[in-house]
Amino acid sequence: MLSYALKRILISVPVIFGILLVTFSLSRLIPGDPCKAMLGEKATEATCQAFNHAQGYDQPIPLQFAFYVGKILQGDFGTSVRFSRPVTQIIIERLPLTAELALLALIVATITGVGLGILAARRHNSSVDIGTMILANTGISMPVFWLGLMLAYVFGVWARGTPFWLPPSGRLSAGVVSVPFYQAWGWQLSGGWAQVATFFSNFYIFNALVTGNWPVFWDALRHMILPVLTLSTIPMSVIARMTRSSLLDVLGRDYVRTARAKGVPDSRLVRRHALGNALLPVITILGLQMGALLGGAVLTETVFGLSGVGRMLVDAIFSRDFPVVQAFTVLIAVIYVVINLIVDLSYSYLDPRIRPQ
Amino acid sequence: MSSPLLQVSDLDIAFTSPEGPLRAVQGFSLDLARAETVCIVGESGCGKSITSLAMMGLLPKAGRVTGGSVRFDGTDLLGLSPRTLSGLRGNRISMIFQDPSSALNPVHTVGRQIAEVFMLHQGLARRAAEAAAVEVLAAVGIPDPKRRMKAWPHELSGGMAQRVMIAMALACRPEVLIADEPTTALDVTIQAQILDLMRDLQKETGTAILLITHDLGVVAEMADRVAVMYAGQVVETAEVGALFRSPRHPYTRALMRSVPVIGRRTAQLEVIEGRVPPLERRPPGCLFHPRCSAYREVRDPRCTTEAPPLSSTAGSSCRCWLVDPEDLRGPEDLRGKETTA
Repeated sequence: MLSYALKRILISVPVIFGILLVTFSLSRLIPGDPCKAMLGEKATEATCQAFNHAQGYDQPIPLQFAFYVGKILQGDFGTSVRFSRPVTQIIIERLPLTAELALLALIVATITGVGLGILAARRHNSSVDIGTMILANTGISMPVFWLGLMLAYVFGVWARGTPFWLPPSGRLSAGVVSVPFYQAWGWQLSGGWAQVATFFSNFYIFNALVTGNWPVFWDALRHMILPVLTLSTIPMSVIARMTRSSLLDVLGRDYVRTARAKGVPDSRLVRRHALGNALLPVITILGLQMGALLGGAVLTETVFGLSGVGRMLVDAIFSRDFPVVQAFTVLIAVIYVVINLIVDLSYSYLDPRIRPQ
Repeated sequence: MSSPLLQVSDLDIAFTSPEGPLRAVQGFSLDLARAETVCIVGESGCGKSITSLAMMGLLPKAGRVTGGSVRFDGTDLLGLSPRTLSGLRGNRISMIFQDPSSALNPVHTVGRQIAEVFMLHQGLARRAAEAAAVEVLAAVGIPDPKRRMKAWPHELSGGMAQRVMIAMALACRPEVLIADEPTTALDVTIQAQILDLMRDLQKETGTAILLITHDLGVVAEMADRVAVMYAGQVVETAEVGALFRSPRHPYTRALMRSVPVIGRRTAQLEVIEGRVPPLERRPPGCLFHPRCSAYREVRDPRCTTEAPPLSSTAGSSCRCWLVDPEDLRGPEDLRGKETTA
């Protein structure tokens, strides 16, 4: 099992290399001068020469690629054209918000989706089943931005002054400050370690949790409720439907009949004999839904005024900020590779039939 | 004779369908005594498996018992709460199925699946249950049982998997074992081994076996008594010797003629024309008459209009207008009657 995991991780290395190659090539395949593409048509010859030299564009292409990969391995994604700041800095600021949002949404979607799916399958064809599936179908059909606006309106505007009020935008209330854990603990950090620490401290909920700063924790959590609800609705519905149909299929299998024939009571039957088999396809879906989550995060962040990766990426595309686009493309692709790795490994952990000998 | 251990009387099973309930099994009755082996034999689709599932309370959702009773050691199984029934299943009544490779849970080890029976019914802790499981694995002739405990179902051959199923079914030394075509999915040499194993274990534990099969060879090998089913009804019951010596129901006789016999040269094996009629198109009168060679010769009007009763005499019974209840002799006699008619 361990050697399989190692092998699987090693296989990911060429995949990531391929991703780097593709993103690099794409940026070089853009018609015309990279300088004109990034700085605009009005850039002068002299500006362009200086720019090309600074960016290394006057070097042979293979060498450029080698530099590019070398820099990324050192955590340097270049400099944003629009902000004149290192892209890595932008990632450190923006990615934690999106990751926090997507992870929370995934957790909520998985727990409620699997729960609803089990409920519907156990009461197959009852009103509970029909109700759950109507809910799931509605969830799938609802546009993310519309749901987000409605939730913001109902809980942020309508419910103002009631205990049900929830903040419709931002990450923290005015006046609430998240103190990074390394400052709270008085760590003196510099260079790369400081960047890594800043990255993790930008997960506000996680940061507040480890430092035990409960006011910030609850405030950050309250701000996340509406965006997470918005973002998790579609994956939750997909997972609920998948769990239901998969569990119904498994409950009709011979081995479930065997379990009943040997006297396993109904409650234990689902838990111990059916669920393990039924959740296998759901895990595949979970991996795929992560993609939908990242896509949905763009809309959710826009609706709830959150400055995460999603909005950043859209802005960068419009303003032709290629280093940023390239960096985020690589980042999202790597996240996909990691998710697929996790799905594969958990699959072989859960299903002995595909476990390598 | 003491009262039978398992007594099924007038069992009716129906399936719900858009056209209304369809009667799959009608008036099925059967007695099973301790340490006895009774075979239910019949073509595919005649209701054998459904009957056995109904006895265990394992009918699929669409199926429902609409009448009759299944008395086990004095209590009616059909009236029990799910909880009480779970307590009996796998403990005092067990069942094994046709395809052992799909009947074992693919994501649990063999050992865990067997140990669970001990944990459920004897309240053993995991350790003790696993030790007990090793013992039953050894008892069903699995070599190196300790190592096999950790095997996954997909690593076992069909014969091995069926041995595991038997181990699981016999773990608590049940009084009744219902075996639904236990050897159908296995090749012939393994079939013989599995049947031998069942017989040996029966001798040791005194378990009564209800064996469902379509294979007359298995019937001859295993049965004390036989019930022949056709289209959801028992059409003939008899001691196994009597049944093979002198089958009386035209269906039973046709079944016998369709089996090749070693040492006897047969120009052509007989085929029973047609199929078991589907549930929604059961013929009036005797359910077998459209395929019955005796009816084609005699043309008794009752065959097409009135359902024949199951008439019994001394330990055997037959459901046919053309067989005299008093007549215990067999095919020659029917032919004799046909000529005088």
